Amino acid sequence: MKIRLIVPIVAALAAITIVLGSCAATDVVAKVANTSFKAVADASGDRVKWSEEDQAWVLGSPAGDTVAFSSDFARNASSGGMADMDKPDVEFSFDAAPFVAAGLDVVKLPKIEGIKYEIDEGRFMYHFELGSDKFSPDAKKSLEATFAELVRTQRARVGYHEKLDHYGIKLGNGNMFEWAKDMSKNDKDIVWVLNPEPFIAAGVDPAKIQGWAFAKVETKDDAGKTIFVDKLLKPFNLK
Amino acid sequence: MVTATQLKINGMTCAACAQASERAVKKLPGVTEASVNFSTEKLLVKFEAASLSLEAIKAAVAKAGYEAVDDIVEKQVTIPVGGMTCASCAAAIERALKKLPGVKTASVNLATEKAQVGYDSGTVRLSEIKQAIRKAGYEPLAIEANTAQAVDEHKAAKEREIRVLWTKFAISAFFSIPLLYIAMGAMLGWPLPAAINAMNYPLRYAFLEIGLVIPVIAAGYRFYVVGFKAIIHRSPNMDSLIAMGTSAAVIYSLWSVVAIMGGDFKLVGSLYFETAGVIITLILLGKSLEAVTKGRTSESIKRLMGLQPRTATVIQDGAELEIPIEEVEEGDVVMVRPGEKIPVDGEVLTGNTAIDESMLTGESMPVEKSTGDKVFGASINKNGAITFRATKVGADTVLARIIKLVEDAQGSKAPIAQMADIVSGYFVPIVFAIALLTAGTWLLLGHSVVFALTVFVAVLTIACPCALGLATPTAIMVGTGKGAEYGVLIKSGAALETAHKINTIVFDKTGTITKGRPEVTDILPAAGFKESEILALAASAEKGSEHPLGESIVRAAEEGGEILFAVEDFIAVPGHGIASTIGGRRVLLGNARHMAAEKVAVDAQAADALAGEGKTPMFVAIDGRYAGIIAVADVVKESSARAIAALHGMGIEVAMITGDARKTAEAIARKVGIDRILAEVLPQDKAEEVKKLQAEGRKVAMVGDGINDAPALAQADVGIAIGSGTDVAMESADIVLMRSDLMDVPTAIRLSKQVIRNIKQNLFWAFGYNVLGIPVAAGILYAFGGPLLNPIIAAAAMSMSSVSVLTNALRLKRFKAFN
Repeated sequence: MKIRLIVPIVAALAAITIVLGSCAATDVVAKVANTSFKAVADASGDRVKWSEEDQAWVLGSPAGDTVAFSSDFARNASSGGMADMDKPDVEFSFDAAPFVAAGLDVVKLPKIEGIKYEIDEGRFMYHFELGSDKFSPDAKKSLEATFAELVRTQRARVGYHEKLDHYGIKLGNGNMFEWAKDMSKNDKDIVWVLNPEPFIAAGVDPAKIQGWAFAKVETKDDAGKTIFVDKLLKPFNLK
Repeated sequence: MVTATQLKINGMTCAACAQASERAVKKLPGVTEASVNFSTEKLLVKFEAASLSLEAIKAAVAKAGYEAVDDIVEKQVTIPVGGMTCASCAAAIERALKKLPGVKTASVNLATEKAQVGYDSGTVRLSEIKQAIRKAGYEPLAIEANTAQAVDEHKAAKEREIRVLWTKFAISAFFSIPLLYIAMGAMLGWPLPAAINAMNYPLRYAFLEIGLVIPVIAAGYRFYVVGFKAIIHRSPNMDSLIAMGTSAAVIYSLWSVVAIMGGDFKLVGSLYFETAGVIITLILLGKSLEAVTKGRTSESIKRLMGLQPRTATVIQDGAELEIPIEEVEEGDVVMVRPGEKIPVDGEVLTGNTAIDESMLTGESMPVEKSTGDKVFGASINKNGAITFRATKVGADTVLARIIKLVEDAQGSKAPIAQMADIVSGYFVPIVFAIALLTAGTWLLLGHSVVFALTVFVAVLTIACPCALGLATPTAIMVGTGKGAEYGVLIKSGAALETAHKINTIVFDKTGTITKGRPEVTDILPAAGFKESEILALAASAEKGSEHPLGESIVRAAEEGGEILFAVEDFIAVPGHGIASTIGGRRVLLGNARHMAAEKVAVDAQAADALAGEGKTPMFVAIDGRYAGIIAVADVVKESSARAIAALHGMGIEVAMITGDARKTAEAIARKVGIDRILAEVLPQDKAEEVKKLQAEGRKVAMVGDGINDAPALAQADVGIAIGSGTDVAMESADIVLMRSDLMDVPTAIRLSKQVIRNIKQNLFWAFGYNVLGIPVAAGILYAFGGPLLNPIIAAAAMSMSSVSVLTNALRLKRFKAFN
């Protein structure tokens, strides 16, 4: 009698918890990613701009470096399935001079799917193609709205970096955009993380890039195992 | 609280007296119910113990003109108890029972899972005793009868219990393995689906772990029910440790989940659901293995209980009727065909057969039986159909008494168990204290909550009192069961323990070292006479004699194929011998005085030589002429010398006690290798001789046939009755040897030594395990730069501790008797 009662209760409880686990409402990482990014955006004030030409929201740093988020990842999808890399989903723009000074020969940068490099007027443009998802029209209303769509459609790219107490979006080939989970407790409000390998292949001595740190970073691989990898880091303090 | 009690009322002569005494009691304030039964002369009264004393009730009865006395009917009951997991459980039940008014003794055996309770049935009822067990958090089970059906039911119940435990283990393992994989996989980088990546989807990951741990906790729910109940009753046990340890892990993990919900994802690394799940799984595995192994420790007794056939063929009104064995009554005539089992004890009426009694005596050779011989229930009729009259049925049969004796021994506690019992009583509270203290100390030293929690859980899970509780009773169970297989019945754990310390064994001579039945040893014919001639004539003269010496001569003649003659006249001369006429020849048989009286010259020198060898010479004269000597002696058993040599090999001094003259005793002693002779001792002084040896500081065992040696058997540190299960033998001794083979004495001593060595090994490992395990779990190695014990490893080690103790006890099954 007892067993007949206990078994369904236990099964129901176990099922409920597993269902809860798969429920979007319990996706705390996505939720807090949005709220913490909003804090970063709010702290950036007028450095957040809408680019009509690119149909993207641009977040600038005090030093003038920018990251742009497309308000619709489907915008650059072509009929052949190949994305128009001139209309990136995410784009880093930063001063190319330190890389050139460290030996960069841009033509030697290796071709990597989903990534495009470009130097224009002394700016290094790092284009990332993340997907072809159709964003809600409301995404255009604000950076936070665009970002929320990015998180929704590219949830697997969003993760938590325990070591730095950062959130991050995997941009592909080891490149990331990270921001502080709690700006009040973190001096690195935003960190750009670049894979140094393409630059090394293009003749750059990564230790000599001014304004960028070349370091071993503790992280976890896709299986969750702790690993140490070489990265080029550019931290931003928005305060 | 209303108390019920029963008093005996003396002085009543009629029903009116009963009413008067009843009224007197009913009038007392606080009495809720009173009834006097005139026929049984008993008063049953229920009263408020807080406001009324038993003495006041007795006074009221006295005032009414009668006498109320305590109706003391002390009863013994053995109650099987379910739900015990460790020695602390047994101690808790003992405490609960001893608190009951009217309970005189209470002894709970963890290995047999039985409570032996001695109680005054006038003060406390069996139902109240059971209720007390239930209240302590355990389940009193149905009291068993020693029948084949009971064996089946017990076996079925045990098998069910083992099946349920294995099912629980299977369920918990089914969920724990993925739980462990997910938890460890995240740490060790094992392949995991991205959808449950701990860092990307911490809440999903946590909920998945919760979903997996819920069925595991459900499978181990008994640990929580019993464990927390025991804590509430302030008698924490092993379940309490598991419940507390795993609850701490689960509660901390749930708190971490709440924090994750609030955005503190770092705490995804502080989930310990897998610790709780795997601990429960490992403990269930340990319990399952323990149940299987424990079942094997009582195989001997189960085998004994299963020996009895279920039916008997009874002859009623000339017809054969097959009836259940329970319906066989004393006096029934029972028919047994070849190959069938003897259903109850009895005496052969018709038929000859050989009966295999090895299951009762250990004697492998079948025993010949004919009219008048005794047969015993459970033995196997080999080759001839017999009928016998039932003389002992039910609980009175030898088999039933052997079972009772072995069961009592298995349920009894050896003195060596006392230390383990005392330690177990304090063990769990001390472990709680150590766990809290070490966790607190680590916190104070600046370590994290997670670290302190790990230490806390590890200490609670590694400290298991179950191995301690099992160390002694399991060895006694296997040892006494093994002894029973060889016909060596050890009546208590205390006897078993004392037997290994024995350094002097006193053997009674007659019937113990010797066969106890005189036999013709020498025939020395005088010149002109033949050996067969004097034997035939002497046997013919003694044919009607009931004297043991005469019987031995008749037996020798019959065995030698001599033809006996008709006796024409016969005169018995008391103290001298006999005189008779056979075929016209006058035959005299007797001692030297008899011959002297008849003026027959005898060979006194030859007679003295025979007497010097412990033999009794009997002179034979035919027609006034000395014809020769027939010597008779109580010969030593074939095994006596070997048995004594075996005892010498164990370093034991062997003494022989006898009422015989020293010279005769010395002759026997020389033959078998006795070290010390206690001769010319009257039966009533044997106990005194044993006492003298004890006064020398020796641990003395007395071996006798259990009838005239009873006082000496009782005086000895260990009384060993040798024989075939006579009432007196079974009652008076500590160890009963079913066979008359003296080799069973060194077997009993060897068994005792091996069991005690086994118990010491078990206690060493059980104590050593905890003495080493607790400091390691508390982080002593970590403090010196070593590793910290993972609670999962602690749980695995704990589970294996009980299994290792049980396995060690089972080694006793390989015990071999002396041949």
